[in-house]
Amino acid sequence: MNVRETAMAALRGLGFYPLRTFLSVLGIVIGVASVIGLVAIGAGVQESVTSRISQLGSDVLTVAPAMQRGVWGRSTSPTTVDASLARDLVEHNPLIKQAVATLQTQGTMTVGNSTLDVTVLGVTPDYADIFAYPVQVGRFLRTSDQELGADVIVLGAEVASTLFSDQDPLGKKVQLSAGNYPTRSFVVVGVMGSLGRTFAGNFDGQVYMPASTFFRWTGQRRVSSFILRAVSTEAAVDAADQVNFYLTRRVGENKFRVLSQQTILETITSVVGTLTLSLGAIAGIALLVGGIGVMNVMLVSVKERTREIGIRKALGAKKRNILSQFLLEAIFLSLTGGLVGLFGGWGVAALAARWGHWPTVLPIYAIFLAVGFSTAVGLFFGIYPAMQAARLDPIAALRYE
Amino acid sequence: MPAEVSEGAVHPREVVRLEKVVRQYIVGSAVVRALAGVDLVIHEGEFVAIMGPSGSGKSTLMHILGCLDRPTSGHYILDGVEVERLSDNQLAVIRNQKVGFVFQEFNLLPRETILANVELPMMYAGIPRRERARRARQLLEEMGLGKRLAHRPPELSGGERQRVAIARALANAPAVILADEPTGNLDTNTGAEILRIFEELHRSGRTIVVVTHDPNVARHASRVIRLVDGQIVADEGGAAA
Ligand SMILES: Nc1ncnc2c1ncn2[C@@H]1O[C@H](COP(=O)(O)OP(=O)(O)OP(=O)(O)O)[C@@H](O)[C@H]1O
Ligand SMILES: [Mg+2]
Repeated sequence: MNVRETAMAALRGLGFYPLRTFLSVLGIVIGVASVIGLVAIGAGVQESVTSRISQLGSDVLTVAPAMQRGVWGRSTSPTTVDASLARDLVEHNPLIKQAVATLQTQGTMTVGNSTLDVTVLGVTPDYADIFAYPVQVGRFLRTSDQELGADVIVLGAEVASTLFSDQDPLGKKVQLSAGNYPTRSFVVVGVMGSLGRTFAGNFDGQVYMPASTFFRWTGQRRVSSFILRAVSTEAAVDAADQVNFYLTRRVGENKFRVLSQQTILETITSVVGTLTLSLGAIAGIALLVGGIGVMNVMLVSVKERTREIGIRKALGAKKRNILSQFLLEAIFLSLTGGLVGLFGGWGVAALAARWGHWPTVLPIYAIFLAVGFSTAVGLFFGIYPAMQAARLDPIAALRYE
Repeated sequence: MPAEVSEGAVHPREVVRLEKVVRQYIVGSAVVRALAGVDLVIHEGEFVAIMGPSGSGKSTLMHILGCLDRPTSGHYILDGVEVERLSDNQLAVIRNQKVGFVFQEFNLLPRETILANVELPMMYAGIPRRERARRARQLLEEMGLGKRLAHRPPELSGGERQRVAIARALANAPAVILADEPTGNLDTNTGAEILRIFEELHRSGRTIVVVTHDPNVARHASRVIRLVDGQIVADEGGAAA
């Protein structure tokens, strides 16, 4: 009796009870699906984060208020964190060569009959430079705009194309309303090129005005974030430390977070890693439960087929014939679960990728992982029932029932 | 041991030789002697009926003859092989090659086709698929089941199932066919039909041992052995008797 024949016998054994087969491997399906899903989602997120960050240039740092709600606003007077801090950051930190302050609010822009929700940024003119953000038509904000507090505005690519479609937006007036602030009209002086979605947000859906104009309009002086540029990529991490130290002295400890691309990447990688690990543990438990399911169904199967085993033995089956038949059956059982789980996990990862705008990445090793895991589970949890079958006394087995 | 020539019947070879075979079971503190010293020689071509009251040890004897069980003491030589010291695996090979079982309960695999059922002993013997299928088909045709190869046992009548079992028992051309009450689950007519098949096999030179309660069956046998309390109390009609 060769491997193929043993395999056929084992496969037929499974086909007799499709529902039971499916239920018993559900644990394995879930276990493998979560392993595959996790690996694929982790790989996809990492790839998209890495590509977004490298797109921005890794010499860029961000200084953002710390997460504790209100701490920034309450514990610091507005003047200490107003846009003028940008200048001080460059002056007092030799590793920083450029700094811009951004003030931010959500608003609605109206042109004729069309309106669009936009993110409104008040920025200093260095902003475009720091992000290497190209101008498509017209110009970006100038120092003179900043000094005059001029009512000029520059549109992100998506905003321009949505509101103006094929018209030339330069020189046109747009109405902008935001929260409780009075609706105000601005003159379009430029349209930016497309940067797409980056980790720093969707540039193309933003509109830009001078920080001074933003302040005059809203009265809001509190900076949303500073964007800094280190003197070089290599200096970025040291520059972050330097700024951290400077800000601690100037506004106090833990009032802000200084993020380098490096630290963001590390944070995301470690979050993804922790998530993968903890969910991986859940997947492991699911696989364990799945294995016990396989063992259970195999024990039942051996019991139910005691007479079959007796018949086979009477006709000349050796212990190892019986052993391999039931062991293969257990492996097929859990491998079936593994394959279903593989496709299930892939599907979940693809859905997540669509939702989160990252690529679906299924590393080859994950497929081997799924196949390997389920084979191992089948082998490990199948050996005991298979040995029970092989050890049956033929006479007792023939008398069974 | 050279065979005696008797009444024109020629028994050239010993297929079975039991010497002082004892099989006892220990149940709690009691010892049950299912076989209490059996000496028995069966020659090639004999058709032996074993009779006796319930619990007299007939099935136990068949299990030992079929190498499903080992004697507690004594010797057993099957077709020239001393089997009492063989390993489980070696016994499996002996069962496969030298023994064909026919059971009262048919003992076919219910989910396999009858063709696959007949192929089973040949599969364990390592015979190639094509040859196996050819031989199984031929055996089933001889049993009058050539048109039902793809059927499964539950679709067949009792008599048909027992014919499948006989075909399966013949698959590896065994030295001896062992049948434990083969007509026990059949009505009189069907039983008679199965009995005719055994007679035919006997006529073509097969060695057959049948356990039965039915005196009718015994009448067709060439030799009748009576078992009481694990001992042979009568042995009639055999050449060696
Ligand atoms: N596994 C066992 N454990 C203990 N005792 C057993 C076992 N198998 C058989 N026996 C005993 O051995 C004796 C012979 O049993 P056996 O089955 O050989 O009888 P039998 O002649 O086939 O009876 P029947 O005509 O009812 O089938 C009986 O007393 C039985 O109870
Ligand atoms: Mg019996």
